[in-house]
Amino acid sequence: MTALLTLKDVCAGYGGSVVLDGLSLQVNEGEVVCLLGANGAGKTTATRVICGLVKPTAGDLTFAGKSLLRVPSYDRVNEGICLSPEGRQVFPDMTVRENLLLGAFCKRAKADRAKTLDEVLSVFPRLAERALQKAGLMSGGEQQMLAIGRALMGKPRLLMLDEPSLGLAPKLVMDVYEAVSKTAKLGISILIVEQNAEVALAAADRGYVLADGHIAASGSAAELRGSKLVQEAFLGASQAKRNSTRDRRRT
Amino acid sequence: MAVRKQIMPGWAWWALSAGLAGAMVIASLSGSAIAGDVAFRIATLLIISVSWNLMAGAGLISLGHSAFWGLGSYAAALSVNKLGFSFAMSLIPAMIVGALIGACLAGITGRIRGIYFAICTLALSEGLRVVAVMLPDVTGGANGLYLDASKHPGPMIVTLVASIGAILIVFVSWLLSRSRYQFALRAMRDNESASQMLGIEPLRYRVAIMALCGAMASFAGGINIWRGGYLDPGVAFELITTINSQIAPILGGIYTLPGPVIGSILTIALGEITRLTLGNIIGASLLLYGGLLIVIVLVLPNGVYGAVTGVSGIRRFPFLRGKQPRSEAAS
Amino acid sequence: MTKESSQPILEVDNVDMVFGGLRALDAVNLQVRVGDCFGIIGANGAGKTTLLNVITGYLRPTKGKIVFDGVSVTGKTPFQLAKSGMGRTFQITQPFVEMSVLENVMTGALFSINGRKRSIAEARAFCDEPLRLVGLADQAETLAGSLTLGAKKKLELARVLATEPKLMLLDEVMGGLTRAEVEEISEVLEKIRDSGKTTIVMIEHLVHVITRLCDHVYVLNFGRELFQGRPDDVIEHPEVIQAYLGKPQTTNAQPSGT
Repeated sequence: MTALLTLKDVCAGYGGSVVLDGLSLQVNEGEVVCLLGANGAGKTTATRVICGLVKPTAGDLTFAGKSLLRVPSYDRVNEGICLSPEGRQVFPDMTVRENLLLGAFCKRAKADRAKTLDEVLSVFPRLAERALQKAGLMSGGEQQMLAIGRALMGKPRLLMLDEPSLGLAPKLVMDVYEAVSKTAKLGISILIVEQNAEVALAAADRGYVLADGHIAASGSAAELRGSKLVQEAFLGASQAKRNSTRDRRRT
Repeated sequence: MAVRKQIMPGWAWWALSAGLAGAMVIASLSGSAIAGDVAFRIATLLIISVSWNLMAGAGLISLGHSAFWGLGSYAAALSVNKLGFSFAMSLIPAMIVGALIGACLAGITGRIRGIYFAICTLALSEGLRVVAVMLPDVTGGANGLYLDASKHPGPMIVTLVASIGAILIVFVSWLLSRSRYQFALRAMRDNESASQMLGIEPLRYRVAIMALCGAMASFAGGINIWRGGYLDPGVAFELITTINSQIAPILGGIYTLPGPVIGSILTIALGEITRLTLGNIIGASLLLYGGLLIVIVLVLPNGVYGAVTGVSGIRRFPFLRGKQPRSEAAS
Repeated sequence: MTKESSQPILEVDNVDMVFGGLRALDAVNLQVRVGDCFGIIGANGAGKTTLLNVITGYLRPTKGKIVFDGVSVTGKTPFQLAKSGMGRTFQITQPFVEMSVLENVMTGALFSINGRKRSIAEARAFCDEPLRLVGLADQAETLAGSLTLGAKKKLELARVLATEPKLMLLDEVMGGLTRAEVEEISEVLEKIRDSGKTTIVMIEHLVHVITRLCDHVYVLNFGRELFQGRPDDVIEHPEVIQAYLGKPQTTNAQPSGT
C-alpha cells in the first residue's frame, strides 16, 4: 500500500496558542481512516491544515509524494483533496444539481463534470430524485449526502468528512455511512473526522485518536474498538470521566 | 480574546479623560479663533460619532445621521427665527425633534436590520432633503435661510456649550457601557432573535437607543447652525456628515467607548495637518487625508483603541479567520 | 407515580403549521406535566424544531392552541414567553459571538424574571453555578464565537439555565459532544429534573440519553404523531424502529461498548 497523505510532526495553532502539537498520521491509497477525538482536541484544525486554511508552524505535509506546504488552499482541490465540512454548509438557495456542479468548479474536475455528476447521482439516488429542489428545503440527512456528493464532484483522491453524523437521526446516520462505504468502493481514500466513534470505527479500516494535539492511540478499527482508552472516552462503556482517561493517558 | 490588556490603571483613564475635557473647555474659553474652531469641530464630531457608535453597538448601522443633524439644524434655526427662541432654548426643540424622529424610525423599521436598515436611514436623510427643498415657506427652499443674528450669544459661548455637550454625551455613553442595557444592546447586535428568548424585548431597547442617539445627533446639528448662521437643504442633509460620524468610531475602535473620542481627535488632527502642509495645492490635502484614512483602517482593523488594548469590538474579517484564536486554543 | 397527578405546564392543542404548500405540523397534540422530562424524537425534517419554534412563539401556528402554565399563549412573542418562564436552546447554536462566554450567560441572568432585580455584579456571581455545571468555568473569558461546536452547545445550556426557566426546551443540546461530555451533561440534566423546579422538553437524537432521562417520549414523523409513551415502549415500537431508529435498540447505552 502506498501512502497518499502523510502528516509528520505537524504543529499548528491560532495566534499564540498551540492546537496541534506534533501530529503525525497517514492515509494510504484506497483506505478509510477515522480520526477520533474530544471537543477541542484539534480535529477540525487538522482538517484545516490539510486543506491549507491553517498554516502549520512546524512539521511536514505530503500528498501523493509531494509536499503540500507551498500549495495554497485553493490549489489543493486540484491536487485531489476535497472536504465535506462540519455542519454541511450546502448553498441553501441553489438547487441540488447546482450545488453539485459547483463542486466540480476546479480545473481537475471541470471537464468531466457531466460524467462525474452521473456517477455521484448513482451513488446517491436520493439526490437524483431531488435534483431540481432547493438544497435548503431538504432534510438534514439529505443535506449531509449532498455535502458529500458535492465533495465527490471535485474528483478527489482524498475525501475528508468532518462530523458527517452530526445532528442526524440514527437511521440517517446509517444511510450516510452506507454512502460512505459506497464511496470507498470507488477507490477513493477517505478520512473521517468523528465524535461518534462507534459508527466511524465500523466504517473505517484504521483509526487514530487525537488528544491534546497529537496522536494518543492508533491501530486497526478492531484494535481501537477493543482499546480501553477508546471505550471509556468514546463508546461509553463505563461512567468514567474525561479526567480519569486523561490520567491513564499520562501513565 | 475578550480579556482586555491593561494598558494603564483606572485612575490614569480618569486623569486622561479629565485632561481632555479640561483642554476642550480651555480651548473654548481661550478666545483664540483657531483653538475655538478646532474645539468646536472636535465637539460636534465627537457627539455624532458617539451617537453613531452607540447605534452601531446595538446592531443598527446608520447611513442617515445627516437626517438627525439636518433636522436638529432646522429645528434650532426655525425656533429662533419664527418663535424668537434664544440660543440655549433653541437646542431643546432640536433634541426633541431628533429623539422623536429616532423613535419613529425605530418603530417604522421594526425588525429590519443590517443593510436594509442602513438603506432606510439613507432614504430618510435623502427624503428629508427633498422635503426641505419643497417647503420654501418654512425652510427658504433651495435659497436657504439665515439665522437671526441678533440672538447670537457670541462664538465663545457657542463653542463652550458644544464642548460641555460633548463631554456630557461621552459621560452618558460611559454610564450606558456600565449598565445592564449594554448587555441587551450587544445581545441584539449579535443575535436579535436569540436575545428574545432571554426576555429581551428588542423593540423597546431599539426605540430607546434610537431616541437617545437621535437627540444627540440633532443637538450637534442644532448647535452647528450657530457657527455658520446659514442653512439650506443641501448643507443640512449633507452626506459627509453621515460619513464623518462613521469614520471617527471606525478609526478609533468601533463599538468601544473610547473609540469615538480617539477617532474624533485623530480625524480632526489629520485633517488640520494635511490642510496646513498641503493646503496650497488644491485637492492634495483631501487626497492625502483620504489615503491616510485607508492606510489606518487597513493597518488597524480594530481601530487605534483595539490595536493598543487588544480589545476588538468586531470579529475579524471572514477571510482572516484562520488567524483568529479559536477554542481549541482555550481548552 | 405522583407525576401523573401533577398539573400540565404545557399543552399543545391540535396544532397545524403550514408553510406554503408544506404541512410541517399536522394536528399535533401533547401535554407536558410539571416536573416531567419530555422527549421528542423523529427523523431530520420531521418537524421537531418547527414544533419548538411554534411553542416558543417564533412561529405562529396556522391552527390550534398553545397553553403554558394554564394560560393560552398562542401568538405571544418569544420575549413575552421568556418573561413568563420559558427558556430554550437552539439546534443551530446562537451564542452572542462577540461576547465572552461569561457575558453570554450574564445576559441570560440579567433579563429573566428574577434577573431584573439583579445588579451586574450579582448576575456575574450568579453565573458561576451554570458555568460550572456545564463545564465551561475555565473558558468564561473566551470569546463565544471562537468556541468549538460542543462548547457552544454547552454555552446554550448554561445560558438557558441562567434564566431559571419553569420550562426548558432543549433542541439537540448534546449534538457534537463526546460520550464523556454527554455523560456529564446527562448528569446535570438529571439533577435539574430531580430538583423538580424545572420541567424539561428535549429534542435529542441520542436514544440512550432519551431512555435514561425521559419519562415520556413523543415521536414525530412527517409532522404527525407516530407514537407516544414510555421510552421503553417507544424504542420497541415497530413503526418507530422502521421510521427512525433503523434497527432495534437496547435500553442500556451502546451495545458495542459493553
